[in-house]
Amino acid sequence: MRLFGSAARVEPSPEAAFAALLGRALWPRLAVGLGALLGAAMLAAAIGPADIPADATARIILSRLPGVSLADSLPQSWRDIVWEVRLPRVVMAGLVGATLALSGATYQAVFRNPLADPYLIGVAAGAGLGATAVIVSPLDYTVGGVSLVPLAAFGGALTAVALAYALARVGRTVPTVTLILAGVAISSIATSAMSFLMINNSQRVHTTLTWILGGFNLSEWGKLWWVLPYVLPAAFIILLYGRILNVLQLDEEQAQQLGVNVERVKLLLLGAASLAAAAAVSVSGIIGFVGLIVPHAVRLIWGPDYRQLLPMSMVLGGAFLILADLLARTVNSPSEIPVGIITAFCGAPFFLYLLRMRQRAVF
Amino acid sequence: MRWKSTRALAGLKARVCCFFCPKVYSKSPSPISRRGTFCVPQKGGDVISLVQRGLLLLALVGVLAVAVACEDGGGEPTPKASPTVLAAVQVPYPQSIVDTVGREVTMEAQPQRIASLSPAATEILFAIGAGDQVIAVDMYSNYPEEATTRQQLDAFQPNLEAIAGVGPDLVLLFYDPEELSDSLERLGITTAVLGSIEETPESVEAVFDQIRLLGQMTDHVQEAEDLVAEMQDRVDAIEEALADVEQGPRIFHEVDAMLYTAAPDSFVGGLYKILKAQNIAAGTDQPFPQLSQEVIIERDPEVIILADGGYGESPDTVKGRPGWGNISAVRNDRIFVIDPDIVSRPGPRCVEALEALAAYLYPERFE
Amino acid sequence: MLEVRDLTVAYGKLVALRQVSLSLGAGELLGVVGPNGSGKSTLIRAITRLVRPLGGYIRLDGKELGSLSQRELARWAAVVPQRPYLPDVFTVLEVALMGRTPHLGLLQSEGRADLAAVRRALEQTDTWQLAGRRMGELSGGERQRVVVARALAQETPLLLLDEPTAHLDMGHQAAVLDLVRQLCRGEGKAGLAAIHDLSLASQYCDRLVMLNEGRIVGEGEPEEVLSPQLLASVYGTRVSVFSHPLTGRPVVTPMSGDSRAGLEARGSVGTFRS
Repeated sequence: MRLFGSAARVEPSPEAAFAALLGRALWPRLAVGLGALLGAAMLAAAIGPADIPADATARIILSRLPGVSLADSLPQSWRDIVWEVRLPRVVMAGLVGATLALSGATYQAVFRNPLADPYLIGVAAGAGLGATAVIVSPLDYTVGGVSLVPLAAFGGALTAVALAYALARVGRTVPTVTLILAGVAISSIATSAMSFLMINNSQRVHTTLTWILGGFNLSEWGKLWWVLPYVLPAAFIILLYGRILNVLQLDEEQAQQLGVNVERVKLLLLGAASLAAAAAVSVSGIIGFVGLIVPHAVRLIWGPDYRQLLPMSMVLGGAFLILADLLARTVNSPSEIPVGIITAFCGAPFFLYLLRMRQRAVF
Repeated sequence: MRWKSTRALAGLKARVCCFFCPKVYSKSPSPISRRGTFCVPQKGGDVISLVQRGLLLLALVGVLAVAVACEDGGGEPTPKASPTVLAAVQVPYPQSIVDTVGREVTMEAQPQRIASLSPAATEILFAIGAGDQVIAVDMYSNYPEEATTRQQLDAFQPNLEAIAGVGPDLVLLFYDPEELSDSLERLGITTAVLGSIEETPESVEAVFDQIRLLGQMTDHVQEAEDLVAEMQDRVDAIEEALADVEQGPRIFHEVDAMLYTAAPDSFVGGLYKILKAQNIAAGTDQPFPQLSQEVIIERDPEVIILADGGYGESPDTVKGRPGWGNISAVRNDRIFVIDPDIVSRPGPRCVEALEALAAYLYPERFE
Repeated sequence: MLEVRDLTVAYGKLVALRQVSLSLGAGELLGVVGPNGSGKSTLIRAITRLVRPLGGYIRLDGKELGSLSQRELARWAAVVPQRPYLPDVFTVLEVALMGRTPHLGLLQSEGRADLAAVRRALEQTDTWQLAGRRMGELSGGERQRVVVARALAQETPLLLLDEPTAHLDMGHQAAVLDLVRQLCRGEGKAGLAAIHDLSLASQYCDRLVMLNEGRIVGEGEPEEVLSPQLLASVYGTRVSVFSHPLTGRPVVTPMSGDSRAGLEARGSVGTFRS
């Protein structure tokens, strides 16, 4: 386990501790993380159910660069598969993985609860209800070639979170425990409404369930625009608040006495994290486990400092989901496996391994 | 969804054998006969069972002609099953049948108040002239028009009270959630599970079986035979027209926009087998797999059939999918929408679906 | 520097402070004494705006408390809470650095000046050698000193201490209060300390305010406030008060034996709120 850095500690001298803090630059770790992300992306781009040689894949991708044409001799179907299907899929999986891990880390920080994930206060159930309502509706749910499902999922997710927040409000404050309870209650209402819709539209159950279980089979470049406008600003805001989130790990009174406007920070960060998670869920369905486990894995490896934890969760969340999706489309080829099954099945053992290796408490 | 289905051909062979060897038959009732689609008389005494065997023979003739290479042929009745039996018009009651999940079902009299919780069974009943005996249907029984005038029940989340409330003397289920059949029987309501045959490879034959079985149960044997014969003729015509085809076009049958498809081992897949099409979903072990998008592009279907046309998909949306532009079916504009009700419902209209698909796949052979 | 006027605070129907008025100047260390539940902690919570008063006002250097942002307030007043929750995984250095929060903008991270302030605070509280340790590995006294260090790193004119010596042994009690007094005298800070131990308060504080059931029942020099009569009525027990041989400040000890009788005379034990 020493592999993972700063585990060994005898009795560090204060000078050493200071030096360590000063020298604890994010960049080396981030470089490692980005390397892992890039490696995962390259692997995922090279492998797929369609049998295309890796060098052909590389040539196809490089040919998108201006002035490079290496792929002219390759079949058009290969070029379509790599550029229009596989690559957007890899990018989307990475983006969604990064978003979910970042949102999960933010939720865990704001709620000071290790069990928090991006779906805690209604994103998943709200999105599920929104998507189901559109999928089972007898009306045509594409408008101008654009499906309304992501839009409805996005709206449902935000409505659920906003409702939970409004209901949990006590005077000028929103106690986190109340917010969690309100979120759980809203989620169960939305889930039962969703189940009701599904049962009354049995012929659409399969489609609905597949959407809910989540996946990237239908990724395309255009869908990135569904996600990026929300994820980028949200990630920017959240990353700015790394230091404040550390302070928030004390109780809220101490944070307040240290100058943090706790209620405003909670609203801002939960809003940003929920917005990002809602956008991710709207294009990928409800992929579990990433938002819960990746931040914990980062915490186990590199410690609890949110200034590092947030960006590292993003890069590793992206890498993790890219690899999970790679398995989802290759293990049972030519059929797909819902990627949520993979994330849970492969993520949990690795997480347990980390948990066993590291003896001291991390949260 | 789990279907308890039966391999009709194997079952038929076994039953034909039993038929001609009464001793063996009576001594070995269970493993084979329990799996059977129909026709294992067990009650009602010797005379009735004889009469029934005669009727069964009659019922089997059509199937044997096409499906079973039985050297004896089906047209030669045993001495005991005399012409008088064949001439019988009325089905005697009480009669017993074994439904597709192996339950023995006894009807005391001709059912007059049937609740059909299976869209396929509903279509069959109306097609063989038993529509007047149907008083309630499930909410997906949307054909024929007349069926929608009956009281509606929910087949997927069946409510015991609601079913019992319509006062049926026969309930037809296409699956049996939480032992619903037992509950109904406890209420004294005769119930038969006519399991879905979606996974049955010999799909059209299995539909014929069900038609004959329902004909027998409702005392519309002749109409059922006529319907089967007509359907068989239409299937034969297609097979004849394709006799010289070695290998048909590559097809992708889209069940929904998530790219679920029908593999060869499904009812729909069976229709494509008759049409000798190359199903690009071959090689999966699920009846309805979700295909990877890149697999679809790589396997390059020549014809795409959309069964999800009612849910926002159309040839235009398919053409607009990124990366699909170079697929043969898209390039050659061979994307067609088919009504999922006729193509995936194992009822009388499956031959309509077959004819429509034949026209899509072989426009030069069928107008 | 700190001016509290007619402050009334209630938690629901339970009134915790009634019309409390006090003022505190730079260089002064004010001790707030009184029994459990008399409102000492509430006073500190009100000054840091954790509770909103029903009536009265609080001014910091003439500015109404409500007109300050949370961050401005934290640059005015630092708090040493009574039993702060500190995650075990944080190092001493990380906790102390959190004291710099009100001085840092969103885009800033700690610079040389911040590290220097933290180093000084750690050295003043004798926790410098612990800098690299995790909170979970510290003793109760060490933890408390780290919290004091965090408050010092905040570099505020006003220091609010809620039972800063409650978990400390005698040596560390003295060290912490010596430090606080020295900060007030030497650096001109204003200190307000809620202190349980009357003798300790008497030894270190310039002035005392005694609270009982949310009201001020005594205010002034320790000698004026710590009269046996007042203590007996407030604490419900007879006490001995005598002068410290060196400082002349009052030392208070309970009289053994009849304390129970005293409690009974006062009504019931239930008046003691925890």
